[in-house]
Amino acid sequence: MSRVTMRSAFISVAVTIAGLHLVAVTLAALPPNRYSDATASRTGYLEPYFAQNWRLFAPAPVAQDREVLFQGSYVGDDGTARRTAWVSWTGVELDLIRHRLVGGRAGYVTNKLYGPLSQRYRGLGLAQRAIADGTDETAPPSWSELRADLSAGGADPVRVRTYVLYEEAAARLGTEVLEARTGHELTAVRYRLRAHSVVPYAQRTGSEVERQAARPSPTQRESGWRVPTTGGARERDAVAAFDRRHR
Amino acid sequence: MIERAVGWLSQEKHSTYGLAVTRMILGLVVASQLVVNWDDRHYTWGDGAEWTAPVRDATSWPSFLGLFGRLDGRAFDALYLLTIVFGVLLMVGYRTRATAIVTLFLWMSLYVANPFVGSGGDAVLRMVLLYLCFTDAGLRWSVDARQRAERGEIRPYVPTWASATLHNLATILIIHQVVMVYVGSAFWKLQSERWMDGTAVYYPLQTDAYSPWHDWLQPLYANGLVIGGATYLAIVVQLFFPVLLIHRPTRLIALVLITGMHLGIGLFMGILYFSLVMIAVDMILVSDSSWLRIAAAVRARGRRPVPQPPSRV
Repeated sequence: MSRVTMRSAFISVAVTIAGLHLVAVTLAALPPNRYSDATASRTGYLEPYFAQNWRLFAPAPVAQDREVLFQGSYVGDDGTARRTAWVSWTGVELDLIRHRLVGGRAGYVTNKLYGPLSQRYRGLGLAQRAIADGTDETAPPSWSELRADLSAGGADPVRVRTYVLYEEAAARLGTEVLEARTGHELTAVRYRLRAHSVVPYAQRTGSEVERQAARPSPTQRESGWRVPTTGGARERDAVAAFDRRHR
Repeated sequence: MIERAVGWLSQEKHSTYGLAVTRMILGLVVASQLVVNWDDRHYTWGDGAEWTAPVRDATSWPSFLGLFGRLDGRAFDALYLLTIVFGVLLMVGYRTRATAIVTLFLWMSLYVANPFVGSGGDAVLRMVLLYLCFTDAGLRWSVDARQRAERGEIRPYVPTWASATLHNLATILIIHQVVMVYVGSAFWKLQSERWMDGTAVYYPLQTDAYSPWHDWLQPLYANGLVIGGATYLAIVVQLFFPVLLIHRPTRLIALVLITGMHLGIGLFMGILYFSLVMIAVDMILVSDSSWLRIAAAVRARGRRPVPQPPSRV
């Protein structure tokens, strides 16, 4: 094989691969349309490495303060169930962002956790949501029991599995946050998702008091009680150290 | 025409100075970002991020990228420091291609360690860094270039035409990637009432997470002209970005506007690293001749004699 032929063959293959990749990236980057829908199976290789799925600005720009809070249940000295105060972990993380030219990356962790927690919950059927919300504060189900309860009655197993994954992660963070903050041995833990829309555009020029009064009332959802879950000592120490630095 | 295109593709490496600037900024982004986050590294990516394991383990990233997730304590810190070192090596262009590959691997390992930390800037960074591995990003303004000048060229492992073809195709893919970020984003915006009525920019600037200064800069954000101007300018520049690139004067306008937009986003919304990544990639669109003129002007300024005060004799 001559040098010229090898060169032509190499260039042809390289251009073809690059060209096909270029078309795939184009189809995947644009909002869903008939062409990207038709070729979805062939552009699947772009996930997850070439995925461009950030939606901070569009179609609807972010317009809410989103907050994840944790509350724990423990047995008081008198033997009755007591509850800790709600701890806004998002508020702690925001210390890395407020009035900083370069925000710390951990400032957005629960901000990004908020979306999947909401979406996975909405993905459950009404019967499953009632089960997820109605757990017992004094005897929360284990993770396998929660999974089994949610799956009973033929619920979509994938939706149940992904919902429980995020619940487990949130409960683990909540347990470590509350143990670090309160020192109580928890018997159950839950989270609250709170969304507060910003001042409406029409009211933007009012005084601070007027603008705050114009904000729509916040919406919130509380999870059911979950079994306290924690990782190793290093994990707990790291969460506690973060809390001390930024609370 | 095909012959001309093949010649353009395989005879000479293009955008070498722009890629050098991209390489330097990306290296700076990797290294400085990790330095800035040093105090909170364990909560962000290390032991304190282990609570994300149920979600992280269910993602589709290959397991060989889980390096940071498997280390703790001092081993984690050592790898974290190593990532900073490779960011610096990428910035200065030392053994550039190998450095780019290792930096990509370390950066991706850090990225997958916490599924709740990644941002749009990280997504662009990882894509561009992958393409960058196929380019000769160390050809200009690098330690490699300096060493080459001192000791002369070493016989390359692969034919020059193959190296040039991969370099130019990867450069095209980087430019295409950034164009698609803008055009795709503009098409998403066009579907939104808030973007069409000129108020979209107002909303994120009122939130705690995406407006670190909103309590101080409220009068600015309350100005309808500022908000409307920024909203429509963002759509127009992004939508017509590829068209504006065709002619040199409009390309210059597009680059100035888009860089200004990114600086505005970075400073006012507290997402400076996302902005730096986008600016880094945009720099490839500045032609080699323009970069040479800029470099000559900087050198001339550096050589200009310091004005002496007039003698009092």
